[in-house]
Amino acid sequence: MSSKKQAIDRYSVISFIICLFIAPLFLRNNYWLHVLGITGINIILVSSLHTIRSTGEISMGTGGFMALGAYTSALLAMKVGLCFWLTMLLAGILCAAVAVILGYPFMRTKGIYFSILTLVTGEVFRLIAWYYRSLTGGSVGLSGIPGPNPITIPGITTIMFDTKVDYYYLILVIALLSLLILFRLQTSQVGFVWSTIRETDHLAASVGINVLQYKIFAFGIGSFFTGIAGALFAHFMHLLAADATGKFGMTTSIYILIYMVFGGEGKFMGPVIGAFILTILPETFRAMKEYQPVIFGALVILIVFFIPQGIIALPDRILLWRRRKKTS
Amino acid sequence: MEPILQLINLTKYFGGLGAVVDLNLEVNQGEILGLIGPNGAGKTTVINMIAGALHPSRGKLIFKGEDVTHLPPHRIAEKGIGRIFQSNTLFQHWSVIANVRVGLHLHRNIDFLSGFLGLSYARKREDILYEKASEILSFVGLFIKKDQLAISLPHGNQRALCLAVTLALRPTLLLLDEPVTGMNAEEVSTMLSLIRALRDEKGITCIMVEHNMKAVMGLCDRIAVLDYGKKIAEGSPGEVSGNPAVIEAYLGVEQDAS
Repeated sequence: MSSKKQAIDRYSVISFIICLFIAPLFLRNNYWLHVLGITGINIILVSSLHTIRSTGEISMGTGGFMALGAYTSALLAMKVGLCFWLTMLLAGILCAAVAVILGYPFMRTKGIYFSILTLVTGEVFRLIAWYYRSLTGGSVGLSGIPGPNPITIPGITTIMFDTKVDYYYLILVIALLSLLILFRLQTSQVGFVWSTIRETDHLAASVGINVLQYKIFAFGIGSFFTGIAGALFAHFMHLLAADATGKFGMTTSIYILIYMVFGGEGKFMGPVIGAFILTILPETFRAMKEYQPVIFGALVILIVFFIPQGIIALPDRILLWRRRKKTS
Repeated sequence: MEPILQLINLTKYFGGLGAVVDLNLEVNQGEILGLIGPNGAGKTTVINMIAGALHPSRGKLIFKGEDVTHLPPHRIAEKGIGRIFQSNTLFQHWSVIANVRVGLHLHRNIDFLSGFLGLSYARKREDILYEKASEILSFVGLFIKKDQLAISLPHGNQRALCLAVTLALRPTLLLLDEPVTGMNAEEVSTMLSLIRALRDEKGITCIMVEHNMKAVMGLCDRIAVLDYGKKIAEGSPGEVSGNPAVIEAYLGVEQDAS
């Protein structure tokens, strides 16, 4: 029974990925390709947050770490002239290193204290980008960030990265790779240890688990992929500015958290689905853009009250409701 | 023979309050040492300091000839000191066997990469771990309940499961904080025979904090009595129960009515 369900899950994931790969053949609209690109970046962000969350902590610094990654990658590409593939990796590594150094004091705190520390740290990263004009352009921002170098697949084609379709595939591949790595981590021994820490950290310590080290590791891994997402964002938009209401502000950190709760943090795919729905959906109702925060708030309240396991549990819930109706 | 654990002038202050003051105690290999005293005497503080959950304000802890005073809890566990908590601390929403599986964490010998790549080698290790967990569960008598959720077990079984999780560490010294409190008579006798079997069959040394005097007197080889953070008596159960200082601590000073 459960293996059958697993098989269904696997086939639906695989067929969905195939759909994503052939989507540009039907979607000749640059606008929707752009939206899907942003969706991919949001999915990497939400999965990074979910990784940190698997030790029981909530990071509110997503926007700030993303800014760190974005500016690192953009500046290395523009001022040093390194190629995108290298700058993206370096952005991720820098974010991970910063997280590990900060994690050492931060992860000694728990719950709301850790959230506040990451919130403030994220804002500090953004404000540095905002005020360090000579390096980051301040409020004017950085523009003309180069795209990736062309990739030549011998005998078939050369990807020039001059159209939205190329960027769509770039983000799709990197998002899938990131998800694969994070999924493998979650289901490995490391993920198992993370969940023991989330459940009862002092029992975990009493059976010999180095709680601090594993928590810092989760924070480092999560921040690595947040940095990767930031780098992708920089080279995808070709333009960066660190204003408070922009992509690097607190609203992003909160939205990413909402995606996770909406999707359901109990399962690996929950936050991914949450980010997918909540990034695509507002774009179909663009006329109501200004009410978006209100609608998001209402949605989260509804989810928390009626399906606390998140939208991913909706099919199971519907089955349950129907069965209950039949018996009554 | 050299004692397995030595507490030398062990002291813990909480603010200005001396929860434990200059405690000297030796625990011998293979014995069950009872640690008793009225509420607030500092028994759990002693256990927490040995387990590394609290750092002493002063004094030393020597385990097997090695200074372990300032080690964090997970290093203490690696050294072979296991503990069960006063309350039922378990991974409540996991199955019984999954709980024990956590305790086996230290013996996994599976490196990070093989789990990551999902090699068949790691699967084989998983089978061995399952077997080991089953063995421990049979020992504490919970094998038939291995697939139930920890939270669904009755109190006595949960207590036994706490013990099983700790046993998975293969400890040489066990710290038992009120192992039989809140149990019915039948559960108490089951638990006591388990602890006795640990000493006799596996040679595990135990320090037991307990309020159930019948259990303490029947099981312990030696008893130390704490009152207001100080040791007021130490000796065999017979010696301790006749000690006037102990009677005073538990019952108060006898007032002359006339």
